[in-house]
Amino acid sequence: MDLLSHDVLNNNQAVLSYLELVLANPETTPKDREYAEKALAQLRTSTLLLENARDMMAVRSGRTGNMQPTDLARLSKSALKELGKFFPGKRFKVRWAKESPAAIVMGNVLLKDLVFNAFVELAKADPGENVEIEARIVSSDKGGKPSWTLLLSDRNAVLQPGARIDDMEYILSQDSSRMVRVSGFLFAMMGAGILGGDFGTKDLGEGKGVELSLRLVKAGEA
Amino acid sequence: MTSVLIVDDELFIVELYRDILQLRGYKVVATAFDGEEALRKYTNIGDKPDVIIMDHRMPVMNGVDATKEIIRMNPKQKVIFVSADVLVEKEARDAGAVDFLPKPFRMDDLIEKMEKLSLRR
Repeated sequence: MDLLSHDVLNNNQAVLSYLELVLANPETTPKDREYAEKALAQLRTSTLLLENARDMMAVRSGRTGNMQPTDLARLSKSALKELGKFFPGKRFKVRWAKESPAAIVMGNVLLKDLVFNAFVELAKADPGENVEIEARIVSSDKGGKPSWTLLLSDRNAVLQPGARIDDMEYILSQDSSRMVRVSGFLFAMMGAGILGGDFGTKDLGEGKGVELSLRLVKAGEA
Repeated sequence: MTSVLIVDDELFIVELYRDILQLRGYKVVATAFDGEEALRKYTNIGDKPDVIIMDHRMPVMNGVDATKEIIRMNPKQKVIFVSADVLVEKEARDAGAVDFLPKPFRMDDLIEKMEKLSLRR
């Protein structure tokens, strides 16, 4: 898997760079620019999927590196800034709750990718061009483990059938033929579990949107 | 003009970096397809390159080992490590690389890192 992903990522590097050249060329027409931007966004998604597979293999072979204290708020803010690159037709506005604590959790190489996957799927679940996300981090004590929980909600997002967490657990354990295109949620769910936390999706009801939650153990409490 | 040595085992990647860096005003003084060839060329170059762009997974000698050797010869040499294997970042930095970029990256990001190293004259 390592060798395969290495080769594919090399190819993606070339495609990415040549598309950037097309976009940087002042003679590129607006329509061609739009096509190139769409191709670039799909290339980024393809790269993310490949990185997910590679991360999972790294976990299985114990190559994920040591768990280290990581600032969840900072990581989330940086991931949210990257979202626009994956969705050229969408504009993102993220509102953070005023008092976002410095939430230090234990994580490894998986953490950044699982946070990003959750955001990408939330953005996909919002059909609008203007995506507004409310974000906050709260302290929790689930199962006696002091944790930080990142909560993200989008009033316009709609969960696909099969994207609720119970459905995903069923799909994973019983019937993968029902797999829907929410592999980012699945990755986030599995990744959070590996890191000792959990990930959930919640349908807030008609017209109220969707809330994602990512709970991770506080650093120093594992 | 900032001079660059490119080390990567994929010809299309070497050509890509060379084309874009030359377009952006950099001078590519040499290219190498594995760590050992990089060491050989580095040793023979009179004016050492301002920066080396180093891949990791290559035949004969990998990027981390080549970086260690180059830094041993010239501790001031700037090596920017680029690799599809993010797990090698710590090893690369320990070997003496001043920066790390996971593939695929935007060429603007690479150039920004080179600028930050004040490599442009």
